[in-house]
Formats: sequence, structure tokens, C-alpha cells
Amino acid sequence: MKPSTECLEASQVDSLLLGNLTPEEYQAVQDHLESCETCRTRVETTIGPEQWWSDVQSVLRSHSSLHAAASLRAAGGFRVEEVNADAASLGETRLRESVLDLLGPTDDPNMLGRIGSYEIIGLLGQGGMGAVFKGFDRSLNRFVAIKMLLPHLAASGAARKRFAREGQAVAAVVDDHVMAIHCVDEWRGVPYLVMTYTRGCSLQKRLSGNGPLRVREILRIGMQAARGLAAAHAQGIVHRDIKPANIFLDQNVERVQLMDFGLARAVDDASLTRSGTLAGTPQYMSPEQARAETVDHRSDLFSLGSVMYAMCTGHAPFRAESSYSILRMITDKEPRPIPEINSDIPEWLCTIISKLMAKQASDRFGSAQEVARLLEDCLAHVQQPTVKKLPDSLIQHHLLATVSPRRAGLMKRFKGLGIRSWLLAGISVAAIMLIAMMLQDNGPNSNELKNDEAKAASDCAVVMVMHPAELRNGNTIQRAAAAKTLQLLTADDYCGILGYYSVSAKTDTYWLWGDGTALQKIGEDRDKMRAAIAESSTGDFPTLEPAFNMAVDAFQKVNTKQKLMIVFTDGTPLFVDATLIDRFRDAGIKVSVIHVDVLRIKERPLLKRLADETGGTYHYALASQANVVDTLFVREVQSLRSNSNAALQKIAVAFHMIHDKVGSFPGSRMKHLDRQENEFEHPYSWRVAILPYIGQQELFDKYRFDEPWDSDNNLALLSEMPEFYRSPHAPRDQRPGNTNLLGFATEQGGLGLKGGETMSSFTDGTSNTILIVETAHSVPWTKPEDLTESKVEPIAGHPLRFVLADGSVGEMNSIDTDNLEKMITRNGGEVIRIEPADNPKAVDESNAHAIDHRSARSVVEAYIELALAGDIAKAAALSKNSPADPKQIAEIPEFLNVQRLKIQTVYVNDPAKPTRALATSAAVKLDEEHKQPDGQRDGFMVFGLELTDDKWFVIDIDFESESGAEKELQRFLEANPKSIGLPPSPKN
Amino acid sequence: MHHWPETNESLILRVKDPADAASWSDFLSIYRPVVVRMACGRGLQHADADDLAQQVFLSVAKAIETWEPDSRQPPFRVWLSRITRNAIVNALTRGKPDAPSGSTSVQEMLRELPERNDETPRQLMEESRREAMRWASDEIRSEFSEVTWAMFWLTSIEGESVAEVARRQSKTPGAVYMARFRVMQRLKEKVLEVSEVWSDVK
Repeated sequence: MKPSTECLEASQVDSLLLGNLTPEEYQAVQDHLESCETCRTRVETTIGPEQWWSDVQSVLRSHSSLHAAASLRAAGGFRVEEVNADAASLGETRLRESVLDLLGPTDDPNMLGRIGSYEIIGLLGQGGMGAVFKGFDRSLNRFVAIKMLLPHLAASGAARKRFAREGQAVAAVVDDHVMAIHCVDEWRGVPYLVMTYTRGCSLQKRLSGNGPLRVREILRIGMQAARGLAAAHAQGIVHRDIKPANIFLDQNVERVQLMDFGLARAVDDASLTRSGTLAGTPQYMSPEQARAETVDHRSDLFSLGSVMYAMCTGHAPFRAESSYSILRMITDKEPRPIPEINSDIPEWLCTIISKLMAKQASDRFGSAQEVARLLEDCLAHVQQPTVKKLPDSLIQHHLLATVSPRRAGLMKRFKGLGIRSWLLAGISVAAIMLIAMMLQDNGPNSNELKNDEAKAASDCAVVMVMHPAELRNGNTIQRAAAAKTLQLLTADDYCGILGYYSVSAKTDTYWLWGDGTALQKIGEDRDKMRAAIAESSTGDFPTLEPAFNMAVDAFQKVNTKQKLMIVFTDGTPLFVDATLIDRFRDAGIKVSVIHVDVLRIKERPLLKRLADETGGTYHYALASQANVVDTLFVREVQSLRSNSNAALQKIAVAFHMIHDKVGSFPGSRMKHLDRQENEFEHPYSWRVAILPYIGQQELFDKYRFDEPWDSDNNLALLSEMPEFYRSPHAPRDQRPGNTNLLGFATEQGGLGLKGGETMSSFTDGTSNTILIVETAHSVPWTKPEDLTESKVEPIAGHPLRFVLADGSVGEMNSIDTDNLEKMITRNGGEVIRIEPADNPKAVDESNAHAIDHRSARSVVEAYIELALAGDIAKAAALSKNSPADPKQIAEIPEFLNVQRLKIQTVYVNDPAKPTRALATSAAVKLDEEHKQPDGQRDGFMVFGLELTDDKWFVIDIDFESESGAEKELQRFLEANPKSIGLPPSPKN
Repeated sequence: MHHWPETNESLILRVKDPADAASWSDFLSIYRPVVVRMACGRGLQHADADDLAQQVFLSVAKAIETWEPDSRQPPFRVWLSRITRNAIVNALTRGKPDAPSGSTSVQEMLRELPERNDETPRQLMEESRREAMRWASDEIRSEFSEVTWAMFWLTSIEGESVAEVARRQSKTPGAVYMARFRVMQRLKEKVLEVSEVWSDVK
């Protein structure tokens, strides 16, 4: 039909809008409208005035969930408290049934079933990779969320292993912003993770429900997510699947938690590579992921940028009909500028997001930590625009963004030529700024990177405020923690403990030890102090304020360089006076908080603020994790001493930055290039090469590369040695200008014999290879000299400290020559196990019985596993006395009524001289036949262990009620003040 | 996951007229985001804004019990809308929360609430109208095919050219215009269905 040239009648317009047109009429009207603008305008204005059209546009533009839903199915992630409404489709129902089939039988009629020792209450949600159940942990009397890999994925060995392995990795990340994983285990061959059960919703849900967020919210969520990422990255874990569905918003507090760590990776193995299809949405992937290249932590930063984009606009940055088109857009296209979609977003925020979303990983921020800090500063600015300025660095980021493409081009060229030209051209102004920012990032103490960070061990004062009155284990935990803290302090340190009397007529805050007005030097009174702790019966502070004030007063009376207050509390912080925080800050007192079992989660921010604003750390732990609590105490005290580790760490960071730039680490004898790219003949040291990366650009510029290191000009620089090159423990008579930091310039050493080694030549793994050690031997710092053999002397009276090629710092108390030798070679092909230095247990590692005390756990675990498997002879070999009785072992499986029993806590009486250990199991339920005389069926297994001839044996097994097990543990801890809890063993 | 007054279901039973029951749930879905948005706009954190919304609707729910059909009174929908708006204005302009919340930050936030001003009712009307548009678009979304919706959305909302959209969807420009008009007309009808929430009718 030809388009009618006749304009529409009024009645036709009405019919059109009422939907009363016949198909023929409809077609005619449609054809006419196509060519007649006048009529179009008439219809438009009949529907609504121009204002209406533009209002709808502006309102709905940010209400994009509709359109997103139209073209793209929502992501397949799962989240707590969100039962997928679409799950009703047949396929999913079937899948759900197969998940439910996995559950074990339960005695409790209210429960759905059982996974391991957890009663399952219901299915919370299901995604493309797994199902999440709401479960109940009887032993701890709390709800948990249990995530289980889908059975069909579990059939893939690789997916299963990765699920479990990644889960264990994340379990190691203890951070407020990473959803905690309590346990990783397998049930009927399918791995599962146990997580905290929290009410709330995902960011995805918030975005779909509310559209774009306000700037303050965007910054807050972005900052917290970045913090979570930083914590994970610090453990070498890349999330790989950051998207709104994986960002969990706590319902009760304004807290953001990352979830689904590494699951994406678990899924790659099974589904991505096999079927070639993607699980979930690729919308938030980084370009390197889209190209299936290897990814590092910066991939997460891109995804974080995309998430922030989504918070600004209400939808993902790249949207298209198919996954493939999205991937193409991610790699090739820039997203639509945010201001075009939401004009409320300030330009600086757009700048941050576009830097995060730089296509080249090297053009993004250096670390999640840096992003978190930047966003934090921005948040401060938004909240108090008149008081807090926008961070200066934002201006620099602008600069970077404009410089980077050129820089990237240059780098490519130099890499291609395989030469080290970076010293001349590679470092643009912007890059140096970036470096400066990264360095600023290395901890609160970085700007004090002077010698005074090398505090003598005697230079600290520690006050412990003991608040937990309702701990289930009474005072046992705090006593153990305090006793352990005391062990770490020297006779010259000051220490005080504040408690609260609540028993006698005297109800007041008081010092457990000393004259009651000031901190006491520990001196020879260590035993007195320990006794005071043991005899104390601290009660519940009605308010923390008096204790805090007493602590500040006492701190001010002593003159120490480091002041730390550790607050151990399980209660409500009832102080509200913000000036108290200022008092701590002004007096230079770091406050760290160990907060256990907070019932009302809203109470956390206040204490967290106290810690944050005084440079301390906020830890959150469960009281049931007694071994965690004392570990935290130990960690806090050790942190007083670890500043010099930060210096070592900086070296590793510099090495890696250089590797990022030129493709190899610096070496022992490096050659500089002139402008014509000819090598200068004089070699120079890596210690010179890294100067620009440790904030010493000026010094670097003074060094003359066309002269030998001992030319007059260069020798003059000896006196300008960066202070942290000199070990804090260096003997006083060591020549100024001499450094104790040396690498291994050997064929197989970290520095190698050439100009420097590439990461790929570290075939033993970067975490197994020493880059730099702190030795007794010292050399002029600019001299291109390092160690040429593997014999190393630590500085007398100090452990041997070293930095590994992965950037972690470690130490050895007594030198294990064999292990050390292995660690020195980067390609020796040996297997070495090293504990990172920041793990307080590493200190124990060095003593002779290190392996023995740790194996207590594996022995009791093996024993129970063998017994349950009916392997009587092997179980008997691990035990003595009645536990070794074949008849009794044979009864264990029936008695315990479980297929597998988890050993929960293992305590060793004294790691230095282990003789006994105590282990408790997860909760068990005895069967009717084996119930206790008093009818008790719920309880725990308690195992006694004994070390004989360097071997642990199970010598006692008991079934105890909950309170019985607690008493047993309490007795053990009290009898053995030096006891430590062993960490759970990593299982695959 | 938001927690609606537990009384929600029994309430609907109490409100005998099915049309009235539907009004209640429509209103919830429109006013709730409005309260949250406005509360957030006044500096409350999201969780607190949710609490506030809950308080508002609890008070409205209580008020419903007192409602008696009466020919001299405005119809239920208009009445409900009016008291809901009043409750929101009250909640948003009140200086102090009903109960101490335990956390200083919340109290600080609430203290930052502006003094009662005459802007609030106007803002509420405006925000409610915007929310009604969002709500209406959700409601009518399923009445149209993917293609029709896409043609409407891409041109009217995302501002793309009709020619481009027609090309991509393999349709004539005329079809794109028709899609725009049909959806927009329907959207307007839907918004007018709940005109009580954003205009002072009768």
C-alpha cells in the first residue's frame, strides 16, 4: 500500500492511541507517519506535551534495569537471601532436585537434610556454578551459608579441586570486606564452603531496585570493595569475577563484602573451556579476560571500575545482545561517557572510573589499596567539602591518562629491542608520579622511612584493655593472649593491663599490675605480671571511657617511640566522646581492636573508627576461635617491630615495578644506556637502579652512569645512602654508606649473572626464591657487588631477614643451611615450604620441634579418619592405651554415627617443648544405642595426645557435653600457659 | 530483601474491596522507593532509609484500621495516598528518630536533617511522580514484545535516531514511530491510573 499523503484525521489519532485501528488502517497510519512530520508531532502532543516526553526520558534513562533485562539475562551468581524467582523453569528445577539429592539424612524433622555436620534449613539460592543453602552449625549454635558446587561440575576433577583450593585461599583472607569462609570441605565427593550467614542483598539487586546510586554511596561501596580486593590481592588471590551480583551489601550495617572468590576460575575449567560458552555475564570482565589472556590483580581493578560505572548509571558499561558482542566491546570500545547518562556524577569520579577501566592494565591504578585510599579521601571530601580537599593525586591521574598511550608505545618498542632503555626514556613524569603514589601506599609509616623506624626492641609500650566478660571460655582466652603478648616484649618495654573488678565491693577500672598510675617496665617482673593476669577476674566494663582515659594518662608518662593499646572486647563500646580519639591520635598511640562476637553488628563502626583514626587495626573474631584471638595479639605486638620489614618489602615492590616496565628484574651489575642506546662501560648496582622506585629520584639523577661507581662524583653519594639500606640492626661501627642488603649474584641466584633475571626464569616460584637478604657483611651501597656464594651470616643476635621474589618478607632464626640453599636458587627445582614472616607461627617454625608440634593435628586427624574407615591396624599404630585397643577402634564408626569427623581445635602445650596436645572435634550426635548414661547425645570428642620419641600418639578419647569439652580445654590452657592453637591443616 | 509490615497480608484481607487491596500494594511499590530515595537524599544511609520506610508504612498500616467506607469521605485510594504522603512528610522532616538507634553515626545523620520546610511536600509530589513513571514502565513492560519495547526505549529514552534503530531492528521507520507512540500512550495511561500518588485530585 502506498503511503497516504492525506494527513490523519483527529479520530484516526484517537483510534491509534486507543488501539482501535484495524490492521489495514494501522499499516496505513504507520506508512503515513513515516513520511509526515506534522502528523507525528500531532500524535506526540496528543499523548503528552513536550515536557512529558522529556520527563519520561530523564526518569527512565536511569531506570535501566528494564532494558538490561530485555536484552541480557541477569547474571548467574548466587547470593544470600535472594531466592531466584526464575528458578522455576524445568531445567533448573531438575538441577535443584539433584542438589537436594546430595543432602544426607537428618534426624531433625524441621531440617531439609544434612551436609557434613551442618543441618540444612533451606535453599537460599542457586546460580550457574553452585547452590547456597542456609545451614545450622550445632557446634557453634549459629546459622551459616553453605555453598556447594553443582554436582555436574563436581564431576570435573579440575573444577572440584579449584573450588576447594580457591576456597582455602580465601579462607586465609581475613578482612572485613571479604565474606569470610569458615571452612572448606567435601560432602559425598562434592566440595562445599561454609560462610557467615548474613541478611542483605547484592549490589545487583540494589541497582535493579533503585537505579543509579548517589555519589557518596558509590564512593563508599567502591572504597570498601577495593579494600576487600586489596586484602585478597595481598594474599595473591585474584577475584576474576567482580560484578554487582558478587558484591554483598549487609542489611544491618553499611558494610560491603566481596563474595564468590575464584569460583569463576573453578568454572572455567569445567564449562568455559568445554562448551565454549560463558557462565554468567561477561559484562564486567576486563579486556584481558575477554581476550582469554592471563590476568593479574589489575583485571579486578577494571571490573571494579565497571561496577562503579554501573553504580553511576544503573547499568553495566557494555551492553549488547550477545556475550560475544559484549566481549568485543570490552576490548575495543569506550563506554558511553557517564555524564551523558547521569549528570550528577562529578568529573573527578568519572576520571577515576575511566582510569580503572583503562584497556591496558598498566594504565590502571597500581593496586586496589591505592584505589581504596583514593576513594576514601574522595569520600571525606564529599562528606565535608569545606574541610577536606579533593585528593591532589586526582590531578595527576588526569596527567597520566593523557601520557600513558605514548608511554605504552615506547615501552613496547624497547621491549622489542630487548634493551634496558627505561632509565633514559621509560620513566615519564607521570610514571614517576604513579610510583610516588604507590610508594606512599606502602603503609602508614612510609613517610617516616628514616632510621628511627628501626626502633630498638625496648622502645615500646603496650596497654591491653581486657573487656570480654561473656566469653564462653571465661578468662582463659584473655589470659593466654596476655601471657603470650608478654613473652614478646623485652625487659625494657613497658606494659600494662587494664581490667575491671566486678566481683568484690570494689567495682572499678584498675591496672592488673603495677602501682596503678603508670605503666611499668617489665624488667624482672615478668613472672609477677603473668601471675597477675592468671589471678585476675576481669568483669564487664560498664563503659570503656575510664579505661581509655587511664591508658592515655599512663602512656603520656612514659617516653617510648611506639605506643600501642590493644582493646579486647566483646561488648558495646559505650564511649561516645570523639575527643578521646583525638587524645589517642595526638599522643601518638596506636589503638588496635580485637572485637569478638559482636551481637549487634551496628556497634562495630565506632571501634573501627577508633582503630582507623589512630593507625591501628580493627580485627573481628569469633570467641570460639580462641587460637585466633591470641594470634591477633601476637600479630599486633609484632607489628611494632615489623617496620623494617616494610623497607624490605619496598625493595621487592621496586623490583616488580621494574619488571613490569622492562620485562626483567634488575641485576647485580647493570649497564646503563646512553641516548644512542649504547651501553656505558661501567656497571652499577641494583641499589642504584631502584632509586626512582623508592622515592629517590633526585639521588638517582645525581648518579653518573658514565663513570665507575667509585669515581669522585659517585663516591660522594655514599653519604647520601637512603636510610633503609642500612639495617636497623647494623653494628654501630659499620661504615656509613655501607649497606647490609645484598642479593645473590650467582648463576642460579635471584640477581643472576647477567643484567637481571626475568620472572619466568624463577622456575622454583617467586615465593620460594630469595631476592635480597640482610647480612652481616656490608658493602658500599652504590658498589655493584652482591653475594657470590650461598654462605650467609645474619647480623649477630638477629634472625636472618630476607625478601622473597614475590615481595613477602621472611626471617629465619637459626639458619637451616639446606633450606636456605634451596631458597637462594631460583631454578633448582626443589620443593620448599616457607612460612611468611607476618605469620606469627613462623617464629615457632624455627625451633627444633617445629614439625613435631604441628603434626599433632595431622596425627589426630589421621587417627579418626582411619578409625572411621575401619582401618584398625593403622589407627592403632597412631595411638596408645585404650585408643589403641582394636575393639574400641572398631566401635568408633558406629559410636560416632558420622562418616567423617572434623577435628576443630588442636592445642599444643608448648611449641618450644611439645609434650602434650588436646584436640576437640566438631559436634557429633551419638546414636541411640551409644548415648551417655545421662542420656546425653550431643557433644564433642576430646582427644588427648602425647609426644613420645618425636611422634605424636592419641592416648585418650572422650565424649564430652558442650560444657564438659569447654572445661577440658580450659583446664588444659590454664595448666599450659604457653600453649598455642594450631591452624587448620590445608586439605585438598 | 525488604521487610514489609508483617500485617501486609491480613491487612489486604481486611480491606475487603479487591480494588482497594490492589491500591495498597501499588502504593507500597511506588511510595517505598520514594521514601528511601528521599531519605537517602537527606543524608540517611540506605539501611536507615529502609528502616524509616518501614516505620512510615507501619503507621499507615495502623491508620488503615481506622478507615471506614463513607460516601462523604474521599475514596480509599485518595485517602490512602493522602495519609501516606503525610506520614512521609512527617517522617522526613522530624528532627529525631522514634527510638535511639545505638549508633552515633545514625544519630548524627538524623541530626543533619533539615528543619521542617515547605519544600518537602512539593519534593514528595515530584519524586512520587517520577517513581510512578518507573513503576508504570515496569508494569507495562510485559505488554509489549521485545522488539517493540526496544524500539521505544532506544529512541525515546536513549535518544538514538529513528533511522538507526529501524535499520538495526530491520523495521521501517514508521514501525519505530508507531512503537514509540503505543508504548508512550500506554505508559501515560498507567501513570494516570495512580494519579493520586502525585497529584492532589479531589
